[in-house]
Amino acid sequence: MKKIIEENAVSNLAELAKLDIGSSDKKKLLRDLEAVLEYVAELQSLETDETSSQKNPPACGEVLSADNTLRPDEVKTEFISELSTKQFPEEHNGFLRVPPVFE
Amino acid sequence: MDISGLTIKSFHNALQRKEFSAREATDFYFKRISEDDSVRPFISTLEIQARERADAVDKMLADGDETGPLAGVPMAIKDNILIENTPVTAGSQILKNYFAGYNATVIEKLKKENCVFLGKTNLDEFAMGSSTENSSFHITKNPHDLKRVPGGSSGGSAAAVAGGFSLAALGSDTGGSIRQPASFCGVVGLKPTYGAVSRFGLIALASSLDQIGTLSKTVEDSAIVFDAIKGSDEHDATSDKNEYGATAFFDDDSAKKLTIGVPKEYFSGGMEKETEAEINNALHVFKKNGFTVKKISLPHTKHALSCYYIIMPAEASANLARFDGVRYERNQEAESLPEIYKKTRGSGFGNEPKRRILLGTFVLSSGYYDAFYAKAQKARQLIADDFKRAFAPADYGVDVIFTPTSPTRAFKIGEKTEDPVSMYLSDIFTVPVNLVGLPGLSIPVKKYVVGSGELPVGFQLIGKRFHEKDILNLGMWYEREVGE
Repeated sequence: MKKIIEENAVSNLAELAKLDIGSSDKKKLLRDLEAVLEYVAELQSLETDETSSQKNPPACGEVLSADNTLRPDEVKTEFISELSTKQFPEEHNGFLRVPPVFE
Repeated sequence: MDISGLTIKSFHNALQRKEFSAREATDFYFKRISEDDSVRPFISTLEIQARERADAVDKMLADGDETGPLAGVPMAIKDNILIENTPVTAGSQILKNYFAGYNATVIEKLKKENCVFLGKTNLDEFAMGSSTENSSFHITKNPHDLKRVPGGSSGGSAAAVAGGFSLAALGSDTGGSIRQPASFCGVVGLKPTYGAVSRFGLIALASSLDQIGTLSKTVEDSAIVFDAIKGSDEHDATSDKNEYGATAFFDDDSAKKLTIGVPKEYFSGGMEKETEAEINNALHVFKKNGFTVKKISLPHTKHALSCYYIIMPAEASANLARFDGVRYERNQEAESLPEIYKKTRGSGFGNEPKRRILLGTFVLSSGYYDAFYAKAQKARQLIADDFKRAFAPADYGVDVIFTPTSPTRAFKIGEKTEDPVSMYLSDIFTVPVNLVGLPGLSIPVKKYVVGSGELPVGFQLIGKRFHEKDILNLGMWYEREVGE
C-alpha cells in the first residue's frame, strides 16, 4: 500500500504547528499518524457529489441546520477581566506585551 | 441519613423538610472526598467557596425565601468549564497554574439556582480521549471496578456521580465525552442539541461539535439541570435564540406515543457479547410495553468515525493555537518568539493533543485539504441527511432513535493507551450525533450497584433537533418501568 505520509512528515507538520517534538517521540507519532490516516482513508471510497454545486464542502452551519446569530458591531469591554490580563506572561498596564516579531 | 444515596429531587425534598442543612450536605461530601481516595474524580476542590454558598442557601431557607430544585445541590464541574477566580486546567500542564477570569454562562445560570460547586473534575487533556487516562494530573478509576477506566473525556464527572462524590455534574461532549463515561459508570448522561446550551466559558476542543451537558443518577435529574442551563446567550453566537419549555416533568401519554427507530447499522457486529445482551434487554422493555419500534437504516454510519477523526483534529489544531506562550503560561527557557511558541507548546502539551494537532495540521494542509477535510465535510452532510430521513414523516417518520452508547463495557486501565485507533473506536456509536448536532441521552440499562461487581451498560436515545423533551420523557418512562 502506498504510504499516505512521508518519513519526514512529522518534522514538517511540527514546524507548521510550532511544536517542539523530541526525536524519539517523532517515530511513535509517525506510527500513530499512519494508523489513523490508514483508518480514515476509507472515506475516499465514499461517493460524494463532485459537481460544481458541491465543489466546496458544505459549511458547518448548513450541516447542523444552525443559523448564524449576529449582533450589531459595537465594542463591548465587559469581559476584559483584570484577573485574565494579570496572568499574561508579560503585562503592561493591562495590556499584553508581545515579544518582538521582527529581529 | 445517607446523603450520597439521594437524587436531586429527593435531596430537595429532604432539604425543605430540614432533615439536614445545605452546609451539612456540603460537609458530608467533602468528608467523603477526603476519606475515600480510591476513585479520585477531582483535580481540585473548592471547599471555602462551596461552604459559603451552602451557608447562603441555609440562610435563605431560614428566612423563608423561595428556593428552586437545585438550591444547595452539590455539583461537580468538569475542569474545562470556567468558574471565576478558581483554577482551570483542562487536564493540561500548559494551564496548570491558570485561574479563570470569568464565569462560564452555565456557571452563572447554576449560581442563580444556588447550586454548590464542590470542585473541578478530571478529564482527558483538553477533553481529548475516551478513558480520562490522558489527563496530565492523575488517573481516575471506575467506581464499579477500580482496575478499569471511567470512560472519557468527562470521566471525573461520571465517576464523581457514580461513586457518590457528588449529586450531579456538568461535562462536555464533542464525540461522546458525556455519554460514553455515563455508560461505563452506570449513570445518566445528556448531550443537548448543538446550540441548546451556551458554550461561553468552555475551553474549546472542536467548535462545530462541542456541547456542555449533564451527568446524574436519574433522567429526571438530568432534565432538572438541563432546564437550568439551557437557553440563548449573547456571548455564544452558536446558541439558539428559540426558547423552548421545561423538560423536567414526566408525561406518560406523550411518552407512549413516541415511535422508536432502531438503526440496523448499529447492530451489525462489533459489539461485545455482554453489552449486546443488555442492549437487547433494554429494547425488549419498550417492545413488550407496546411501543411502536421500527427498523430503520442510517446507511452512512460506517463513515462517521473517519469523518469525525478528520473534522475534530482540524478544528482542535486551530483552537489550540491560542496556547502559544504569549497569552498563557510560557516556557521560561525560550527567548525568541519562534522559540517561545515551540518550546511552550512542546513542553506544555501531552501526547494526545500533539497527535491531534499534527493530524489537524495535516488534513488542512495544501494538497491534502480536498482529499481529507473537504471530503469529510461532504460525508458529514450525507450522515446528516440519513438522520433527516429517519425523522421525516414521509420517510421512516420516527421520533426517537435507539442505539447502544458504546460497543463495550469499561475497559482495563492501560488496555488501549498504546493504540489510538482502538481507543477512538469506543466512540463509534456517539460521534454521529455530534456530527449532526442532535441531542443524545445515555441511560443505564438497569440500576448498577457499586460493589456488586457488575459492569454497567448504557443505551442511547437520539432525538430531533431541540426535542430534548422527547428523549428525556422516554427516558423517565424507562426509569419508572425498570424501577429502582
